[in-house]
Amino acid sequence: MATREAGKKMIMLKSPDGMEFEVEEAVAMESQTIRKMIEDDCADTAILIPNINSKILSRVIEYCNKHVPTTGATGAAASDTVAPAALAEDLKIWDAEFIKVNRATRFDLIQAASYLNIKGLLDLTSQTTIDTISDNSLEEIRSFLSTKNDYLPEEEQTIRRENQWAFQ
Amino acid sequence: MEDLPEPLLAEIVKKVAKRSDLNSFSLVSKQLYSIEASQRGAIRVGSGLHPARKALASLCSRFPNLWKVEIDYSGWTSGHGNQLGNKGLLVISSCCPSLTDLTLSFCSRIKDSGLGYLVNCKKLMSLRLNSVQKITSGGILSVVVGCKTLSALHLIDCEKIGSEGWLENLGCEGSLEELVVENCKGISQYDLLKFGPGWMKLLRFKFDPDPMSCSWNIYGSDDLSYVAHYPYKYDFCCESLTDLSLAHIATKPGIGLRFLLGKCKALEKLRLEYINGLNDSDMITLSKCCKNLRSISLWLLPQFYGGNFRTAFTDDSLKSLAVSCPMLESIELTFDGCEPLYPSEIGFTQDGLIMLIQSCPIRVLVLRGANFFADKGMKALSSAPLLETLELVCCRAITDAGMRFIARAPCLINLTLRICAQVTDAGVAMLVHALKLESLIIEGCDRVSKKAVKRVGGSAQCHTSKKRLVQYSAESASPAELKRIRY
Repeated sequence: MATREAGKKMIMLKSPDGMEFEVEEAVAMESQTIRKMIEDDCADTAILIPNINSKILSRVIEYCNKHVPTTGATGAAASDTVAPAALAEDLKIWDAEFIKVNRATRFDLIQAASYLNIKGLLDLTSQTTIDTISDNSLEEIRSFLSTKNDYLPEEEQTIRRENQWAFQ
Repeated sequence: MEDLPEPLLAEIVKKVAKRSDLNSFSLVSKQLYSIEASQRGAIRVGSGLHPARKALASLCSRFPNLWKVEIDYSGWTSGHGNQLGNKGLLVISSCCPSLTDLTLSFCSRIKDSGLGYLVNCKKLMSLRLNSVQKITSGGILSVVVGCKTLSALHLIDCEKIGSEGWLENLGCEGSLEELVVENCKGISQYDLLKFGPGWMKLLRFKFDPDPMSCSWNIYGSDDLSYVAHYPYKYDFCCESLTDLSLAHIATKPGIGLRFLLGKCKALEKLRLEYINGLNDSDMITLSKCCKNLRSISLWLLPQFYGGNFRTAFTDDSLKSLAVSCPMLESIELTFDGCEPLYPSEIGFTQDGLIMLIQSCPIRVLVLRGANFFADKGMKALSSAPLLETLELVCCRAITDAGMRFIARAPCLINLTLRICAQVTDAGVAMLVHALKLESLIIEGCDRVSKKAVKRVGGSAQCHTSKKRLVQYSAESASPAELKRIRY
């Protein structure tokens, strides 16, 4: 991580398992949930992030660090001096690497992204999940989502028939 | 192992795009079935629906949050069983409380009485009728009166619909923003004047009474729908209109839809396709009035102007656009039926177009059958600072020298050449040096080989090292409109 520059406001994030993370305010504000807390002045010392353990929280911070606009702590849009297309391409490659995690971690990241309201991370994690199960068999999807088939054979038959119309 | 809570599953299901995946989800478990069903906003059904009404009813109750329904019977044969009838629309109006968007295509059993059920769709905003042959003006009137929220109406290939009642009512009482009338024999350009105050609110308007007609109508035939002594009224404005598309109509000064050209102060996008009888003064009036014009598309055919046989507008029109429309960024010009042997058949000259290119912030330029456009024009384009997309079709005067110029265009991203007979491999090879070229399409250019095009594809962009997309075909995969251009 880059060395801390003078003048940038720092925020302390605490995970329930007692770890503390000092991050730039602009990075923390990638999360709309935290942004709201800061704007409502509920964040003078440290913000406790419930339900998100230190392992997941550190990954989330890693994501926000990468995605924070490059102009600094103002929270303004990315500077025009960097070619936007090249920057976007770079981020895409980084994202693809970032999301190479096991299923449990990915589900934890989805929940964290949802709670912290980080749209980019939620999109990334849920789209990767969709890509994983796309074109899989029913059994594979069930095992991925750890759900059981609770249909009676005749119920399943009815839905199969109806699906012929419903998914034209 | 923790599972995803239901709201998050719903969040994910919402993003699934593939129909086959949604199909699978509904079969995985009852929980996913109901999540998928409540997320579903749109269905498209047609010939497979059997028995039609019962099947539709079960779908509407399965998906309680439908906002968009499309019933499309294109390709239907009697072997598919009965089509959905009037009562089918009763099902929709009573089971889809969120419906805002309805499209009916090729529904041969739906009549006015069926359309009448739609008055219960209190949120209906968009209605599209495509080849629903039994619908008449009466059916449209009942929807217009009953659904006050209607903001978009598309009538395509509905021959029994006239203009009685509904147009006036909609104009006075409604809040329509988008009106499309295509190939409806019962609605003439003069009928549309009955829309009166409705023009004030309209944002997008498209009128094409006869899409199949083309080259024959060049001698200024009279419009038979004009009634000589009818008190047509033109005392209204259309200051909200941003998007205007007119096609295949004959005009005379002072009457019919031609009046729109001088009245749309907010116009951003204009398309005029084979409009008979227009001349420079129309374009000058238009350009002076429409300061916000961003996009113009003209499809032109030579006609007799006094002793001259030429396309409608001359460089005077281009000059006026150059002076009056500082935001013009997209230009599409199609010259149909103009013989290269007789350059005077096209009213524009190369110098006129160059002047326009140099005056406006052009991003997109499409030229079809532009016999006058040669390497000098390409040179001018090479220094157009914003040009991103260039498509040249049947531009026979362009040579390899022109290609050398265009390779230098600073922002060119997409280049398409179709049937440009003088361009060779040597010209295409210049594109290796193009700075930002991302996509190259070459079709039907006899002297360009696949190999030369591939070589451009193999070369990477200088500053991003991104690979270029190239597409080559010896034949021009000609869209129907290409056939009309003689070359």
